[in-house]
Amino acid sequence: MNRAVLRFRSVLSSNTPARISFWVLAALYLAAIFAPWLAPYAGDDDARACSWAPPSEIHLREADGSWHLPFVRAVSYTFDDDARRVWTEDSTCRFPLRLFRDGHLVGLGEAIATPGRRVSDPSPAGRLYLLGADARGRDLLSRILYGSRVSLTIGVVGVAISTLIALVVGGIAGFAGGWVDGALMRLCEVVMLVPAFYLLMLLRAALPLDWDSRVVYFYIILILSFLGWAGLARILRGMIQSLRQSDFLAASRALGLSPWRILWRHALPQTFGFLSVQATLSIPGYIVAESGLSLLGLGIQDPQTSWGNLLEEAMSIAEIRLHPWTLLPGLFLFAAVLSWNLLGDALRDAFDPRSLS
Amino acid sequence: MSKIPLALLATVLLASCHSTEGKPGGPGTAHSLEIGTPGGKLVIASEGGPKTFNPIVENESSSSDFVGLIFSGLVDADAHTGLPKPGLAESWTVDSSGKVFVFHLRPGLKFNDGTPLGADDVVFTWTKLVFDTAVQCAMRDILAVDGKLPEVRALDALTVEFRLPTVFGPFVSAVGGVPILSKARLSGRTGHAFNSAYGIDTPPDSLVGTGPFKLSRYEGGSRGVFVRNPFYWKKDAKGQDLPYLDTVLVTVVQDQKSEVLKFKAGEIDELDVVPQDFPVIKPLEQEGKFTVRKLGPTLAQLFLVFNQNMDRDPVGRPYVDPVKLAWFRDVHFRRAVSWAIDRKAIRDIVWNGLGSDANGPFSPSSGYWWNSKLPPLVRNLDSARAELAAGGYVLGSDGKLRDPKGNPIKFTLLTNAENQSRIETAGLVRKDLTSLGIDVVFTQVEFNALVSRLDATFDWDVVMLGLTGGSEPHFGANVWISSGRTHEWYPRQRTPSTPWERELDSLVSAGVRSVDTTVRKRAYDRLQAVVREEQPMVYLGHPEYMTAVRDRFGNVDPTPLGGALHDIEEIFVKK
Amino acid sequence: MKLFVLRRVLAMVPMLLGVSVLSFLLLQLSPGDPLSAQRGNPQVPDALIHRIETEYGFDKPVPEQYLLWLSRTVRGDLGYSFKYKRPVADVIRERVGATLLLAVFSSLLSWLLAVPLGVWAALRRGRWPDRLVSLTAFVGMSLPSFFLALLLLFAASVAPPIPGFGRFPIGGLVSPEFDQLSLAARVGDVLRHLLIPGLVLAVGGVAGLQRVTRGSMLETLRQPFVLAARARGLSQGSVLWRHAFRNAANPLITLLGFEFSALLSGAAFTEIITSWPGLGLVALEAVRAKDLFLVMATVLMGSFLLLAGNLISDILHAWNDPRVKLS
Repeated sequence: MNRAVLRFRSVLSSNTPARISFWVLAALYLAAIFAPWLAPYAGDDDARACSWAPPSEIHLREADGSWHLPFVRAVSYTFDDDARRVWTEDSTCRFPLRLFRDGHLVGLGEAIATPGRRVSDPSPAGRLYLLGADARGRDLLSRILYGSRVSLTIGVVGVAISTLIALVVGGIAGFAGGWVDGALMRLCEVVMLVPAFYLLMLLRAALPLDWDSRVVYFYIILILSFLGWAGLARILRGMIQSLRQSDFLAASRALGLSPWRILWRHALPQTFGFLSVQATLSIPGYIVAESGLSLLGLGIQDPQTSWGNLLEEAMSIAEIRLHPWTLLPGLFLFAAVLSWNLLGDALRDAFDPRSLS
Repeated sequence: MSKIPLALLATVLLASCHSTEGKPGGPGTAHSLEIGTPGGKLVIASEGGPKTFNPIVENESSSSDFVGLIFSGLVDADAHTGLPKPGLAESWTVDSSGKVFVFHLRPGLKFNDGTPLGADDVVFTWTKLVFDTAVQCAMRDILAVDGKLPEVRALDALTVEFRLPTVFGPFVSAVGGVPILSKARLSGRTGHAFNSAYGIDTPPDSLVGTGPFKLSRYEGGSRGVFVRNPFYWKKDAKGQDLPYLDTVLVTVVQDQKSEVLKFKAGEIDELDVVPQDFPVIKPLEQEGKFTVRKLGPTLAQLFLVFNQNMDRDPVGRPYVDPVKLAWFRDVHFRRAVSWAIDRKAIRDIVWNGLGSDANGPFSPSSGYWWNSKLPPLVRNLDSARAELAAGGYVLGSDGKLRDPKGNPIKFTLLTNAENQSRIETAGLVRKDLTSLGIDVVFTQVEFNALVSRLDATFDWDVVMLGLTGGSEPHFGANVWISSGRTHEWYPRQRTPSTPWERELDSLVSAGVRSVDTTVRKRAYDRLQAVVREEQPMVYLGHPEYMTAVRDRFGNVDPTPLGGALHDIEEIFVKK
Repeated sequence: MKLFVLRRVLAMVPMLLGVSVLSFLLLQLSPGDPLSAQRGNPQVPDALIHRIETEYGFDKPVPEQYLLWLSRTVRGDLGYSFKYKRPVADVIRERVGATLLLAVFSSLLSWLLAVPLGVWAALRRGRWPDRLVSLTAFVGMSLPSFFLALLLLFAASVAPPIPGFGRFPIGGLVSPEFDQLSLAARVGDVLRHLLIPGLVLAVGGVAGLQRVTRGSMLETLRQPFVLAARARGLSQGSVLWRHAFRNAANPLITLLGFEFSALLSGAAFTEIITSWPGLGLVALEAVRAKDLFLVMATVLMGSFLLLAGNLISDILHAWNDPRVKLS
């Protein structure tokens, strides 16, 4: 184990893209953990008057020309003849940006009246939209942060589960051989044969949907795992089969060890390096699959967020044209997937003895 | 293209039809027609392409875009009021019993192949095609009373008499839905054979009808080319033959999205504009030489429905948790929910401000039958709280609402996943109800899975759906009668479970068992009032019906009921 | 060889049967049926729904329905699509061309990009071209197809018209005025429309291909025969393409078959977002509408393509590499 950590550290120090990826991922996962503190608002905190508000303008200068610490203004919209939203800032007061406010990293302070102006009645409510708002005036940045909790964990948990299934199935098949092996491998082949996209949709449609969001989250992970295990199980079975024929297993059998003990203590540990690389490499696939499923309205559903379900709002040209910031969650998705890919690739090169570099 | 199915909608804004506000019933409200000049071409889009050209077998809206041009019935529907107006029949009478209708055909009518049309063809169409049990035709099931069908006979060459087994109020409208086909052409293809007659591979020449156009070419799955029917009966005020247009081209598109693209590119001349697209279509008016007209509320509207089903499943468990059932069957609870919903927010956020409040089950655009006296349904939190208090619901110090027995109020709100705007709406509704202390879990399922819950498994709490209506209220009766399949809150009841449902049953039968429109209107007005009062469905409002038509066309008078291009024979290309 | 192909084709039958049982079962497990549009329509009488149910056997037990479907399918009748209101065979025939066109175009694009890049990277192994190429390939691989498609559509919708090219088409297969165009212009028009979806699909494939090309090339360059060829004084180009690349191409050729098999499900998202009228879009809508017969037909077609792809790659492999014998 220690050797693996050392190897990992040497990969990071020698491979710049992998190092950067590692830190990007570390930042993303930390942001996910501290989402409630980093996000200015709760994920479902809406403000109907701010439907599709663009990213807030950060001001430093008050209407009378005086300079201040960064502040924003309350905004409101009217529809023009084309039913497009026209935004105006309420310059009667300002809302200063404050650090560590109400348990959030950044928040808005109380309204401060502009010198010489009376605050309009009813007093405006300031909202901080660093990345713009969605249709219901929810802060996109907050939603991206909360969404990262789903999008980033689904890959890791999913891979863990599918690896487990693959280990069990591949282990049994490879070790038992005979008709068990035949039956399990035929099952793997059929699962691999149904195009993934259909299987995903069919499985999703077969499940009741009006469940608690946490249950749905785990089901989505299960569905994704169901897709991933078959290929891996086949490879593992092959590895174990060749191990079984190897000398040292024959030796341990000659020593009278039970088959299960051989499997657990000797056969499986040999596959560990391969598995960890394989897991890192398949995480991006899970992240993308969840996003795709959510994008079609079949995955994580409102009011819960994931990056895919946030992108659902960008699905029509009209929305992208009018509110281009709806594309932003895709950038986060891209960053996470790219980092996992680069890291996985570096690990493969380091752990795979046959790799060429 | 004037027939609108009353159907649950997968997407709220399927293209359908609209009317200008404040044009209450009564025929003859059509705007004055210009005298046009013959010639020119019109290109329209049809979603999905036709399944068949057979106008009698199982009507589907995608087929009707094609079929409606080729065939026509004894009467037409007025695009403003929805009431019947003369078609192939120039007049009709009904006797005092309300059961005997006599239709008088126009003299000199011809099919588009030049052969004359007479009472024989009408009798043939009804008795040999519509009434034949081997033919798949919904109209037969609608008209049958205890298995008995009307008797149809020709009194003379131009007069047809229908004798009904019982009074059927909307009979004239029903007659309008059945196009007249040629006896000479089809007498060899009755019975089972008729189901496959006039399929989409039929040679265009053999599609013999009486509509303003006839099919000249159909390129499977991509487009149909229609040319003027030289034998069409209608003439303009100056005596010129109609239609004015030489050609109508119907292009098949796969979905609304590609229809919008084609309209923007100038390929098609008409587009039904949904509120979500309006901000990107409207600015193109000058460049694309078209006008977007706002024509008032759509016939479609969005509603919440509560599951009031008291039955048990085959294993003996109740379909609905008895605790929840008690809330859903409590009118105070339903009204409180209705008062709490911020419909203006739905309009502004989901429909870009393009929509209007509902006042009950019918759309203001449904013409004559809409009850204009009911006030609009709007948000009023005080009234909502008052209703909750009246029902014994208590808001706890923990912010949770509890029923009189102390159960916290929590239910699932379900809608279909295909539609982003519905998901937004549900999000708003959820927040509104949270402000009353109600815990709403929102989920989405595929449209067909939703329907199977409504129709078969009954395992749902509250559902948000869209329903689009036509003009004739009886054609939607299945929603109101307690034994109906689409009586969504408690379908297929053996006996009405509440006094107000009993009243709805009797109002529906009062509406259908009279031919006097004022008597019928009174029944339907009351029906709307009862539904509004009891709120088994909480209406959320209508999006605006909007249509874009190129400016070069004259006599374009879109209405929600008739669509953008109703009475297409009058439309001409301006010189 | 013939025997090998025959055996493999025969082996497909039980696999396809397995797939069909699995998908039929999953479809039946999920709620809803193809008739929901009729059921939800108050104007459709109950009698009509019952008639349709009986006609298509929806009232029968699931195993019997499956056998009914199977016997019809074996006889070449794929059934009826309730969603498209046409025979399933017609729907598929109409769309399969568009999907194939897109797949061929995007594969071509990705091969044209990936192979030279891979060879170049192998020759400059470990130096900046190698790193740059592999990083770019990773960027491409990491852009989810739906996100890339959205980005390109956005770019196309705000970009000014390009002289001689016009605006980027945002969706669809052909322009409205397609019918009036000359043959050459028609080809150009389709190619213009292919650009965005084709690029999206190609970008995803470049990374893998580039990597395999590079790895295989490196391995070959180390082989004694390459050294020998060099030693004989053959030109660098000749050594590279005539000797080294021909051998290095073996794993690539295997990939070709796999690419073919990924056509159907791989293109679905891209088709959906760019409104490309292909099978992916049909498949999505069919599953959503629970359009039983259409789903079955598309799933089986997808699986068949997968099997066929594997077979093709085996055959190609044997053809290019005389050491491999099919048996």
